[in-house]
Amino acid sequence: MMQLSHVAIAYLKEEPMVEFFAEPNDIRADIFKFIENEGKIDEAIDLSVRQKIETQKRTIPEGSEEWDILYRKYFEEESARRRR
Amino acid sequence: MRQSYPTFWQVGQRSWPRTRLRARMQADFRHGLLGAVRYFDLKSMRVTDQEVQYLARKIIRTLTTASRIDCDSEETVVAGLTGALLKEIRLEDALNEEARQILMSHSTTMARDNITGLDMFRKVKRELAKKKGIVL
Repeated sequence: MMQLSHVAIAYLKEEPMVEFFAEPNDIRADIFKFIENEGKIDEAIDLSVRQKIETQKRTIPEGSEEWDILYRKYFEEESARRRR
Repeated sequence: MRQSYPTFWQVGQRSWPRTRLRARMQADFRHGLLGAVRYFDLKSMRVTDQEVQYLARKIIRTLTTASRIDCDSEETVVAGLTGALLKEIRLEDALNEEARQILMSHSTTMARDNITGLDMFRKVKRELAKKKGIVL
């Protein structure tokens, strides 16, 4: 994540269409926090989707086709809801 | 019973999205049917091009909204940033793949010396990164 923030700021610094209104290092720190936060959101979504599948009336084994479909469906729904 | 896996060109296709593969590997891992090495590979499968583009867009929007930067063409900058991030991520993917190949060739030694796949994978990956000058 740290490396990605360095890559991002290096690109932005070289991009002539971008104008900076703050110190590049402060912006890099913002980018790092943002990427870190996105990772946390992903983990939270994963957890909530798993719990949702586990609370179905009947047991759906993890790794089965039905589990996969439900996981994908709920993940997309939850992701859209949280990242609106 | 361990279920079948897709061939590498099927991964990411409609019938084998990464979420499905991930779920299957996690299930097999929990049941002791998969070693840590393959489970750990999931890290490199987590990010798709669309997810990186989403991330790049959010970064640019957040920074412009907070008046930290200004850009003439958001689309161009997002596309450029997506490319730069993807290049870095794929570099690590390639490193993972190389580390996995080396690991496969050391499987007998690992079993004999009781070294876990995860420990060996990390060691090999660290050494490769150092050799190639990649920052992890």
